[in-house]
Formats: sequence, C-alpha cells, structure tokens
Amino acid sequence: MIALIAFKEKIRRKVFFAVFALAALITLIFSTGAATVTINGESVTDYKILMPTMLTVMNAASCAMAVALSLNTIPKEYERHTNQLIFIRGVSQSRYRIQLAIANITASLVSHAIFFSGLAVYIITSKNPSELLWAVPSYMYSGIGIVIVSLCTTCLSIVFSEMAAGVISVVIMLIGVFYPMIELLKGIAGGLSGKIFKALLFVLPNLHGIQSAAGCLITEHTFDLHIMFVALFYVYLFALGIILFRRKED
Amino acid sequence: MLECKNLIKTYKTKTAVNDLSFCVNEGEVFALLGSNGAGKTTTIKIILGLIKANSGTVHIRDGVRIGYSPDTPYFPPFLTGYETMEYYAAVGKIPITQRKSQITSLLEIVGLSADKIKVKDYSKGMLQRLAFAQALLGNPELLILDEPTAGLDALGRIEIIKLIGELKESGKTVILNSHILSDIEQVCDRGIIMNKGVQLGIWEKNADNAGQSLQEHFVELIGGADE
Repeated sequence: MIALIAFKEKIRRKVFFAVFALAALITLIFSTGAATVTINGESVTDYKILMPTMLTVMNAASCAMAVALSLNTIPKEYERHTNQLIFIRGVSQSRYRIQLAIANITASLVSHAIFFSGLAVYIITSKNPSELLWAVPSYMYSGIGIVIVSLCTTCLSIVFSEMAAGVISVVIMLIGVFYPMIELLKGIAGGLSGKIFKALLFVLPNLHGIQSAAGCLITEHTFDLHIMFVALFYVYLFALGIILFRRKED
Repeated sequence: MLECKNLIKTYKTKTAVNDLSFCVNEGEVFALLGSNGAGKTTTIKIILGLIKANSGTVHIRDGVRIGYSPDTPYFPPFLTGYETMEYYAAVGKIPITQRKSQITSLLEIVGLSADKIKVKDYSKGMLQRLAFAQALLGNPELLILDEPTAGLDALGRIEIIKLIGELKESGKTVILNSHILSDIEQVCDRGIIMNKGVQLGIWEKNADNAGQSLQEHFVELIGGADE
C-alpha cells in the first residue's frame, strides 16, 4: 500500500510528462531518418547500426529519469513528516524504505517502458517486425540497469542530502553509461589518476555492458548470462544498502 | 498511563529537552505548554519512539494503542479524505471488515464527509480535522496531538477544542501540545510549562495556582526563566 501510494504520487509528477515528450522526440528522430551515423564521411542508415545507437540513447535517457524519479522520494517523506504517521503504526524503518524503493523502481521501469515503446515503433517502421518479439526480453534485460540506477539513487538519498545524492548518482550513472570511455582513459592515464579510474571501474556498475547485452538480444539474439549475473549482484548490493542505511529523524 | 523520567535530548550543541519528568494519568487531557523552541515536539517524538533520548525513560502502560496528529499534517494530495483514511487503516492493519464503518464514523465525528473532494482542495482546517480522524483510527487509548489548532481560524479552533473535550468525555487520554493558552485552559486538566527544554512548573486546572490564571502563571514562569 505504501509503495502503491508513493508510485501514484510519482507518476503524477511533471517530470513524467518529460518522459513521454523525450521518448516521442527520440522515436521521431530515428524513425524519420533524421538521425544518421557518419563513418568515414559516409552517412549510415543501416538498421543494425542505428538500432543499437537508439538503444543507447533510450537507455541513457531512462537512467537519467531513474535518477530524477528516485532522488527525492525518501528525503521528501522525512521533510513532510509523512514517515511519522507510518512508523507510529508499527511499520519498521527498513520495511518503509523497501516500499519506497519499490515505488521508485516501478516508476523508473514504467518510464523505461515508455522509452522502449519508442524503440518498438522504430523496429516496426524500419520493417523488422520479426525482431519485435526480442524487444520484450531486451527490455527486461536492460531494465536490470534501470533498477541498479534507481536503487543506487535511493540508497544515496537515505544517507546524503538531496543535492549531494543527485550529484553522486549522476556521476555514477555517467561512468556506468560511458564505461568503455573510462576504460580507455584508464589505459591512457598513468599514476594516481589511472588508479582512480581502475578503482571506479572495479566498483561501479557497467551500465553500458548491460545495455549492449540487451541490444544484442534484439540484433543477434544472443544472451549474455555473465553480465546479467554481475548486474543482479549490484541489485543485491544496493537492495542491502536500502535495508542497512538509516536516515535520522530531524 | 504514561511516565517520562529524566528525559534528556541534545542535538549537537543544543539541548532540546533537559531532565524532563512527568506522568499522564488515564482519562486526562495533559498539556505540554511552552513557546516555540521549548522542546514540546521533541518530547512528543521521544514518546512516540521516533527519536531516541540521550538519557531517561518513557514508560507507557502495556498494550496501549497510540494515535498521533502531527503539527503540520501532509497527506497525498490526489487522494480523497476517505481514501487517505483507508490508506492509514491499511498501514495500521485494521481488519478490512471494520474499515468502512470505522472510517465513515470517524470522518463524521470530525465533520468531514466521505465525498469526492481531494485532499489538495482541503482547507487548513479540513486538513487538521483529517489528521485528527486518522489519529483516531484503531480506537487508540492515548492520543497525542501536536499543535492541533495551529493556523486555524477562530471557528476551526473552537471545533477542534470541542472535539478534544468530547474525546475526554469518551474516556480517552490526550496529550496536547500547544502554545495557545486559552485552548489549554479550556480543555486540559493538567500540564507542564516548558522553556528551552527545561520544565519550569506544573499547571493544574482545579488547583489553587495561587489565584493566578494560566496566562499569569505562564508569563511569570517564562519571564522568570528568561531573566
């Protein structure tokens, strides 16, 4: 019930309308051929190249939305003292946080589904309807990445202020989405910065890897079990954080 | 029904509650009196278990159900009053079979009808009454009301005070946190006067109070403490 009410409140937020607008815009750009990838000066309109590109854009947008939707749920509850009326009814703090995290995850996945519906439109308009069926497991696979971002943001919002949690979440999300680029930087940079990049890559989730594996499900119909298990391990870790971290009453 | 002994609560450098002791008897309306920053809300939060005291104890008789109405109530704006009550009834695990009748009767008691008006369209007075109603869910023996008349107009205040009087008559024990002395004098039996976390004195409705009204007693104690 707590999760349901928190979810209903989330989907009424103005940020949710931005999801529809952004999804429609990305779909329009890719479906009408307005988006082109240029290789060696030649414009590429091939489905096999454009589809993963669209998936990357959609996933990055979904991750950003997951941060926006998950960031202020817990701080707002404490600020408005709505938590007090829950706690005095015998609901434990950890159970309450889990319920709010579920609301965050559900809202983030719904937003991800809206973005993914744009991808489905692109698959149909690019005359590859047979791959539409693969979009479903691909959505579920890439959804793990969205769950990670949502859980991570929720975890941080328990411990830090809204602003600090937002900044850290965005940094984690960007490193995750641009994981290969950080790997490249790690290779280039030496000394302390190289070690920092190495540590970041070791600790933070590879959101790009999850999204690539989800893309391969549609384009190559292959399933990467290893990346999925690593992603699920991050889900487990952040879920543990939701239970263990505590926020003090003002 | 409730006993607080030597409560101390500090926030970094500030002492919010300093060696506070009092007991609340069954069936009485007990006041926590004091100006802003006196430590009244902190005391309530300690009693409710929302925050921990640095030292001291709170003893509440076993099995006592507690209802709480916060000072600035917030409810999901897209719900109606009835739906809000349903939500808290579900959270409080009130049996489904009892919910409808209980919610309808409580909304009637506080003067809110179970209509389709959303909480976002509620006036401040209606919100306070809804907060009151949710506090009464599950038929609690002990009610803790934090500034229930804050921000209300004269009529709204009269209605709330009348409601508290009715609850007292029905045998409920009430802890009322307020800085509006006329409200306290009207409805409370006893209370403690607090200033900057310290208990300055006790006030009793039917006691002699040295011929002083509550207002005079309060000003004398607070003024004396500030000098």
